[in-house]
Amino acid sequence: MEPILKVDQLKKIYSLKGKKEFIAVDDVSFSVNRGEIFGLLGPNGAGKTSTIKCICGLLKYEGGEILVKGHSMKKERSKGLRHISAVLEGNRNIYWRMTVRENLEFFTGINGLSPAKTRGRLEGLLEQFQLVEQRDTVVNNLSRGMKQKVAIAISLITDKDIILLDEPTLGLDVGMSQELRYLLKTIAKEEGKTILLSTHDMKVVEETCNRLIIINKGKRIVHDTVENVIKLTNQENYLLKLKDSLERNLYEQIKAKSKNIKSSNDRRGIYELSLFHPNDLYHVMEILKSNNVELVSIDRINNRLEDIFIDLVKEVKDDEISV
Amino acid sequence: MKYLYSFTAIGKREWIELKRYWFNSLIGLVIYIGIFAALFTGAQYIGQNNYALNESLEGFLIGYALWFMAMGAFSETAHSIIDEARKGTLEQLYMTEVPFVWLLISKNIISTVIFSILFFLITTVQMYITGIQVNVDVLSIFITLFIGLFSLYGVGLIMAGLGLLFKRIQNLLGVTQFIIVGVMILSPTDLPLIKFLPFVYSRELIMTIMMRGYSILQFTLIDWGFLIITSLVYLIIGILLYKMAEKEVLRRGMLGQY
Repeated sequence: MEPILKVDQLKKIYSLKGKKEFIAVDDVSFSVNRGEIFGLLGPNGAGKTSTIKCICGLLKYEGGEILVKGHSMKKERSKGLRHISAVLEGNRNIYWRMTVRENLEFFTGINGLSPAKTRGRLEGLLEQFQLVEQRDTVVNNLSRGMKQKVAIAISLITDKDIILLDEPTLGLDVGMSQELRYLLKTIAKEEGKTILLSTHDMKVVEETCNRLIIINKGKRIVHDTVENVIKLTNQENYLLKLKDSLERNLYEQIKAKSKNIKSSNDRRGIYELSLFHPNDLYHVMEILKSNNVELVSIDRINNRLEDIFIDLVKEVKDDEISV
Repeated sequence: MKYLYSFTAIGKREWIELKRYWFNSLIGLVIYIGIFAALFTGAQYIGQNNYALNESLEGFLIGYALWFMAMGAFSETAHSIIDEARKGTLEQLYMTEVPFVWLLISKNIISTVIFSILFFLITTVQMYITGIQVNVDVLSIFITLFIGLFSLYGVGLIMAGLGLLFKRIQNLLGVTQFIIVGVMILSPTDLPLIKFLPFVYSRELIMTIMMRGYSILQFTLIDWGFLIITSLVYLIIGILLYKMAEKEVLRRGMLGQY
């Protein structure tokens, strides 16, 4: 099957007179199939936004090629744009002083479509996104999550094949983030839309994406299915529940035997332990037993994309990842 | 049809904003007319019983209204693009199937209609305040104004391009406003070369219509040629320079930044 979007050896260089060149995207290649939700991951400054902007024709690229339904974004930008819509920079891309309905009608019109002919689709989207009650509310008066939903609804009003979403869940509360994840899956499954999303939110990727690419410093690190990427790590994770918190010296001893150990911030005696090998668990048990630490329970935890991501992008700082 | 739909969408958006923020627009008009009334009273006081001043006051009335139009037209283009970039909506406009320049031209045509209506409204109020009567030949004035304003849209596009590149150009916009005052005061009779400046020839023709009772039927071929060619030249220069700035902005990835 021919991919609907193909990025081939993309290269984006920023150069300003008198300043050193900066390679934001360096030889990145990937392809996305119709109806697929594809994740574009990377720490801050990895080149995600530059890649997305090159795909939607908002940034000229110096090398490689981007094909949207076979149309080169370098040579046939307007033909490529017939198949792409995007939500960039969260929800800034909509008119905050206009109502939800006015925004939807405006974006229908400026894309050269008849608002009268797309009225049915508009009503359908308002219902699907649970915005019926807010249809005549000025966007500025909506919550952040609602604004985000409006922005995504606008990207769908023109019924294009590919939707590019840059950080769609940024700043949303847990409930709204979950609702949005559900919406994304529905859009891809029921409407056959192809979604390319760039995010820091690993939960979104794990729950919604079929495949992903991780880039760092402009270069591709991994490009595979989410399932395969999770299998990439050889670490073993366990959740230890102890009767009491570990004393400092015991904590240090266990830390020395494991790859990583994290204590729960809000509950005493609960630790998340990452080991290089299952056998290392014996060493940890020995330390606990010889020091008379009472063990309440021990559970194995499945590997999470977050751990793999941190592994793969070692330079990334903890605070750059939201889980 | 897609060009018509996008034109209608822009028109509807302008109408919504005008309607929703009518109070702000109204206050702008009130302040403008208030300043005019104060200036006019001052001028009358200085030139009491001065017969020659009567004609100057007519010129002042029309010139002030035209200055208001010129300022609006020039700053509208520059401000609207910079404002879209600041809000983050410019990127979306660049991703539509219709070319961005068409969206700009659509906005300018709609703005011209709005400005023309405001021009007639303001002139009527000014005539009522001053008691001065001028020839308000709606069709002749509208056509001349419509063609003439496109030269200022060209200047506005150059400013918008600079705005996209350098982001903060408020000082330049301020200086250009003073240049427009100069353009409104100077006469091509004294300085023939200034008729090549944007909007000067249109202003002269509108003055002739309103003060001497001319109509567009009395325009010579030279009048039409000058009116259309100067407007077209400035508009084309504006579009070309804007396109150059746009190319650089797309290379640097600064379209959505402000």
